[in-house]
Amino acid sequence: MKKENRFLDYIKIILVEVVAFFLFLFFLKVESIWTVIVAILLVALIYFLSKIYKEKFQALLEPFSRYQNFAIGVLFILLVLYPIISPLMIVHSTYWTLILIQTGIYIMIALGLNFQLGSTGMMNLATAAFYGIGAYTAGLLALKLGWPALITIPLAGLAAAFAGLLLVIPIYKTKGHYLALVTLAFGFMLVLAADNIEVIGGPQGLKNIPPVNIFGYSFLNNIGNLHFYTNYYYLVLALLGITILVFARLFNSWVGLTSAYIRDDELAAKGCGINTNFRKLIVFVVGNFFMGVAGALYAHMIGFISPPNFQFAQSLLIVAIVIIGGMDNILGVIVAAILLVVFPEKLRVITEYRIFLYGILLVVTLILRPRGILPFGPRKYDSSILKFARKGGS
Amino acid sequence: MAEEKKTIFYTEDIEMRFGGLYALKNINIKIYENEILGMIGPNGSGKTTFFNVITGFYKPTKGRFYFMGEDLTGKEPYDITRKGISRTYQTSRLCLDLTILDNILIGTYPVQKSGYIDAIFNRKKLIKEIKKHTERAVHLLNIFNPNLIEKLFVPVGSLPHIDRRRVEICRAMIAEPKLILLDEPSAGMNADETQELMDDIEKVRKEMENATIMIIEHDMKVISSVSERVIALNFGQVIAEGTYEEVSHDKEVIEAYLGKEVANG
Amino acid sequence: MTSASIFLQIIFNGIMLGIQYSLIAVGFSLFFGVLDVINFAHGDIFMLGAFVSLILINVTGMLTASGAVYIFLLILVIILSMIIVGGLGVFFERIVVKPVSKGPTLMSLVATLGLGIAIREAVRLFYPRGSETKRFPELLVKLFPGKEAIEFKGVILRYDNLLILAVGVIVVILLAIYINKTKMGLTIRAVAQDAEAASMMGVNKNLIIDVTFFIGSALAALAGFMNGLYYNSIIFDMGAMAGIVGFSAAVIGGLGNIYGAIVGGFLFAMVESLSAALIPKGSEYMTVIAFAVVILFLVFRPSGILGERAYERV
Repeated sequence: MKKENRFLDYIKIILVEVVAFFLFLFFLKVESIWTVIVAILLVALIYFLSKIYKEKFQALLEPFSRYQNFAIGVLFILLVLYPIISPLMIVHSTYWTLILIQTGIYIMIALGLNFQLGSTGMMNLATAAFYGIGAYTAGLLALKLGWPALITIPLAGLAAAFAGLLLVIPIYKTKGHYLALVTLAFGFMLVLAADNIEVIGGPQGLKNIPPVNIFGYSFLNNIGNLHFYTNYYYLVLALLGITILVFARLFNSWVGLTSAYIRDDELAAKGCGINTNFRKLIVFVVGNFFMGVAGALYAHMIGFISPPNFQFAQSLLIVAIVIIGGMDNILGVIVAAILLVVFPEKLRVITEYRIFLYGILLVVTLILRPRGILPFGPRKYDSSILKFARKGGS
Repeated sequence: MAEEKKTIFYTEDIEMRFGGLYALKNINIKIYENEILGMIGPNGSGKTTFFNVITGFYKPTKGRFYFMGEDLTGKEPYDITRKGISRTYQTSRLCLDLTILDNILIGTYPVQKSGYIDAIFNRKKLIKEIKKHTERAVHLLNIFNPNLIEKLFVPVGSLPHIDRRRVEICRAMIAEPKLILLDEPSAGMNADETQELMDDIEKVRKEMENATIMIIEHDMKVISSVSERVIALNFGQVIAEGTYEEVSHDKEVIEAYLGKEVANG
Repeated sequence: MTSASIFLQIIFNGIMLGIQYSLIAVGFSLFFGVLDVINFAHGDIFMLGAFVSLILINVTGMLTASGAVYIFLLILVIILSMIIVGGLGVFFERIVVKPVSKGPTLMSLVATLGLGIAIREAVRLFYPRGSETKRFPELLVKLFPGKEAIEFKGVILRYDNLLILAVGVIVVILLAIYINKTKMGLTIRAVAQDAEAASMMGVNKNLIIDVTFFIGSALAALAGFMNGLYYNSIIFDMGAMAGIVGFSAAVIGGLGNIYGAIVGGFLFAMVESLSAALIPKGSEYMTVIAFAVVILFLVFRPSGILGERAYERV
């Protein structure tokens, strides 16, 4: 009996994910703004149905939380298959692959900010600047010194982390809004500096940055019929997977717990023996590391970076992703990133209005749903702890 | 008959000045091992300020204080907590969005050993540690309100006031401190809840036999029933010290609370 | 030019900018003091002031008038733009700023950031050819035909700049009188220093907040007008940098402290003015240098020159 139920649950998971997957492909394929309208209506419909048919919905979602690892595994397989399936269905599949890679890179940056802001309450309005430091570090090391990506990427992360350390050390003991001001000013200063320093390219930026090359295999090679971007797709997928794993584990640990306390009541955190200043410093540095790595990936992939890539508008986008998606919620960040990066690509009509809408969306979200679309759920640490508690602590 | 009582905590002429205002002046207080010490005084007499000074949130403008023979003056709150002093707050500082388990586990932070590396690479060690502390949290909750155990993963914000206070007390107790400071635990409670609270304090005493408790209170019922010794403050200075009987009949204390006419009869 | 006249020019430029920055900074301090909120849309209120006064200049046909009528219309334009933008400030406060002020300060920061961006983009999208720089006319030259400006000890003083100076001094004095002598002003100051204590004395908090936002926004609007007059041009994103500068100035002076905001504004402007004149390629780096000074202040004196508000309650 039990074995059959399990099998049934697995089928449910696979069915839901595959259907969603093909819906998404369809969404990308059809070239009309009606897809966005339909998508929004569909989501609204599902939302209302879930309120009306609560039990049926719960039954549908239950297998996902019980067999979480299986669900993630299926998702991973689908994501791996995407670049192979999409050219068969979508005309401009290469373009969309690029968009998805860019989304993945933004998710990585946003997860870094989520660790700083969502988990620990530290405002960072210079995410684009740290992303830029990572990009320029990797770009310069690869271009001028010929170092391989396997070295430039981690070094880029360290550069961004170190820059964060230097910036925050003088002021980490002061209140949150000062950090906002300093990062804001730093962002502007960095773009100004990049524009004026000729050695790193000035306003023209860096060109011809070598692509990733792993043990002789250059990422400029096409994979069979698939465009060479596919190489980067898999690289970003892998690194993003690691990033998500790291942050999920940090959330379900002392790190996540102390960060949440620092965010919600710093005084109480101090009273519980937490050296809040030191912890905040580490969080900021760790978050920045991932922003730097994301920058390096971008630099190698596109081969060309310049100051306008790293302006305040990009920082704002990342902040919007974290706040709208849900603070301290990895899934929320991912959903918001897709919403704010992929959807606008479909709505070419509104490109002019994009920044305007980001602003409005931020305001509306913070007034109506301040914790974001998907606010964080209870910290469960581990399924064994959850079971332990369910049994009444026996 | 009179045992030699060991002093585990004492202050030397503590003064806390804010601009021109003296919140505390000439404070010389001793706390003896294992006692339950009560502190009373009208609003603004400096009771919470005293707690804030000895837990490091305010640095005294004059004077020093010593715990277990060590000078803790000028130390940060997190250092002082790690030395074995924990406290509750008048406004029950819990993170309402976090679960009961989260809010209690945080109390064990001073004794936990896992860091970033373990969280990512050595989950076994991390989970073992959390499991141990969770067991202890469940044990404590069992003492105060077993119903809370099934709500371990429920946000604290959804609990009634008395249960929130209990969670906060568990948080203060779980790291097995040597000195527990309770700041007006009955604040905002009705008569029934206050009665439950008095039972809770008894339970704290029973559970932590080797601990010392100091409690600030406004509700005289609570003070009279739990304290072995009472200190009264007014305008930042100690005006009386002794048993509840002695202090509650002290002329200056009555005057502080009810005014000169009543004190003089 | 002699070094004395260069020095005087630097001082004068610093004063010109200082007046504008101070007017914006005062708003930041007031909002933080009264509502515990960092209002990052305030810089864009400054921008609205510039645009509204430009619109009014055109609508009233002021430039075709002359003599006494001209002066009357000029005063009308200034006052009307302050009132309109002051009202807009209250409007935004009611629908956005007050609702988010109930949460953590950082959330109000982001929300007002979003609001500011929406305002900025709205101007860019809906004002005719909004992304282009708009020319802001010289205003006082009309009254003094033949002469462009006054010369004083080697320093060129444009009439418009003298107007800015005069209006700036008058407004600062009026503001000082207001917060020191009038009942409403004193109440605002009390609330800004310690809101909890003030509310315990039965102050109508909502009214105070509305008045504060009106005044703060009106002052920023005036600064916007001045800025347009000073550079003879305005553009939709002029508020972005101005907001950051105003916030920095308020921080240097101590958030919540109105006098501090004024001091901070002039300090920031002086650093910019000195940098622009004395350092090669200075005009590009002047803001950066001023920011560096701000960061130094935050490190060594985080509560500002004249001090931020009271202790945090434990």
